Amino acid sequence: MDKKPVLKIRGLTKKYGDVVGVKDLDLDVYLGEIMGFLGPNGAGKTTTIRCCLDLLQKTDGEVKIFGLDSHENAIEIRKRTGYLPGDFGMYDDLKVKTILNYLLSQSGVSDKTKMHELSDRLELDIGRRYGNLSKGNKQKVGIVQAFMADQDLIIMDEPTSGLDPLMQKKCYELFREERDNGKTIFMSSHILAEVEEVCDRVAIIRNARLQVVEKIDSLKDKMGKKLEIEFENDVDPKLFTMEGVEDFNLDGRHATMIVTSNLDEVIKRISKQNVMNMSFETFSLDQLFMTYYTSGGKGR
Amino acid sequence: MFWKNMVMEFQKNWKGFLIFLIVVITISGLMVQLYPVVEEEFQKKELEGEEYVELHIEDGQINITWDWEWHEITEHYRVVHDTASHLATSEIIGENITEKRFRLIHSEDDPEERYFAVIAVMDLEKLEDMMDEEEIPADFITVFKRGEVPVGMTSTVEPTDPLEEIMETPYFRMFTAGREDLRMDEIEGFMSIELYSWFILLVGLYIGYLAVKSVGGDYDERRMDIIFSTPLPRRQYILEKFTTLGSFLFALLLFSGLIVGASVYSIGKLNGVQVSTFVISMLSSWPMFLVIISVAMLFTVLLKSSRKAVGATLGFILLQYVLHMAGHMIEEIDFLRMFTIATYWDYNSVLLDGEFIVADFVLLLTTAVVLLIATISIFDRSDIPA
Repeated sequence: MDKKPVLKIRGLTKKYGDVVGVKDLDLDVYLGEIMGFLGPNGAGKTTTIRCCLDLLQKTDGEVKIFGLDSHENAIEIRKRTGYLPGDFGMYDDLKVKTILNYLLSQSGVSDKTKMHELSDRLELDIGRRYGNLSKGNKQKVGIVQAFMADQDLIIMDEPTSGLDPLMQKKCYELFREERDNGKTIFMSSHILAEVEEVCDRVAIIRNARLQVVEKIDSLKDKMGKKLEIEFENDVDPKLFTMEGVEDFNLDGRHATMIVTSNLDEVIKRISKQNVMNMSFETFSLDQLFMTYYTSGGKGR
Repeated sequence: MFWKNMVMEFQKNWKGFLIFLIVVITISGLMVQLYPVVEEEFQKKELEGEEYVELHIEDGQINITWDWEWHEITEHYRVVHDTASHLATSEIIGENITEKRFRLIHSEDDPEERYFAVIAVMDLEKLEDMMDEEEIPADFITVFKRGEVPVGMTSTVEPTDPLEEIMETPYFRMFTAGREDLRMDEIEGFMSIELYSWFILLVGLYIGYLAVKSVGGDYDERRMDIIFSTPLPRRQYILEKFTTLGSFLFALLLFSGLIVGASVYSIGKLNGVQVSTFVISMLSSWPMFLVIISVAMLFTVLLKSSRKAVGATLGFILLQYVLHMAGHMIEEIDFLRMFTIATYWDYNSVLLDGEFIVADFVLLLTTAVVLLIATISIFDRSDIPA
């Protein structure tokens, strides 16, 4: 992957009066990657995205897209950026085709091939009036309009919201294909499985502050195992004070710990004790994300 | 390109535009068609039967004499009089004579304004006798049988039209915009009062509402994010909305003016007035309505909500209208009219004097542009609510 940042955020702060939407956020999204943006409701995901697109005025900080300032060069940026808002409406009385043609022409694109391809692929009838569409079909319109102008960067706020699981899968394939074709995608999501399946990297935001930015693979490596042991005799806690062991807790002869590395040495030390019972549990990515959501940014 | 949003605006709103266009031109045309029906009522009239009643002022007295063909079947006469034309306050029962004197209150050179009406009270027995002898036409018998028959009226002053009396009241000055030479019995005056005086409400309220919904609808329906995901500059967005409404408005006023002119022509009442006079008088209101559009858009980008902006805009228009009208009626607050936009649309200058006041037109246009620039400036720097 080319390490050239398409989207570069430094010290981004957005305040709504006294309420802080985002605070001191630094983030890079690199060319040709899918970056997932995770966080609980109200964490600041949408605020960050909308600041990037100049829909909100930054209180402080800098956002550069394609090396251009997000406010000063907003028009140039939008020529090369597709956007799917999290909550959007269109013209209820007009046909989807009319709306898409209008948006495409606003982007200065006359070739409608991709618009038709995407509509067919997502099984969207563009001859129907927008107001008559179901929630899921309206979401498809949003996805089609985000990708149809074939722009270099696609920013999406919860893109598969309202879609059925089958359609979600189709969208994941679409996102990966677009990435493989050199597009950069920055997407927020609530769906952890979606992030795990689609994203190359993930940024987690909580209480308006960025908690972590990691490759999905690295996160999986960091996940560790949870060990729960019942010893026959008392043990010295110092025995497990070592690198790779976190959150050691001893309650009588019952011990719990998280092992992120050095597993071989941990097993050897355990084997020197009389063990009555032992369980071994691998963290899922879900559990890992939940710890970021709830533990104030320290992960486990 | 500039026109794409305009096309979308017309696609989105064409039904509303068309319905309103039809409503306005229908009202404009119908108002003209009312004119012949009421024209006769507006014409200045002689006092009824004044040829039968004579009035002389001499020796400090007002002497009323009358001539009544059916004197022999008249039991007596009643003379009613008052200082106003409705003759409601005083009644004199006369003898079976044809003369009555009243005391003159003012001088002979400048007598007070007084009206007199002579009524013959019929002798029904004599009437029956004459009916038997078939000396009275059948039509007269029906009237005579009622018992009281008006002989005629006279006055110490030239008779005036009751409508003129009303128009001289402060209340009516609201509708004449203070023009004393405006006459309801002339088509220009009639249209001035019956259409132009409230045209700001007819068109202004709707165009204000449209202007709010034009921008506010995109807030309410959460379309802003999608619209501004395209490389559409915010200033262009506002400008295109403004231009769309401005061009629709121009067409509306042009058609209304043409319809009024054609309608006046169709009833044969042009009387030397050009159709273009009505067209120009209508089109001269264009910048006033552009100000309303700018105000509506300004409220919308400030309040970021259609509901609030509609309330503010309609309140602005109604306040303007009330101040403008009240200013004509109450001298003490007349100065407030200079702050109302309706003051600078002087349709009476075009209709009555044939004069188009360029300075007012330019002033309103400048105001609209300044407000539009303020709107763009605020919108350019404001957050778009999610």
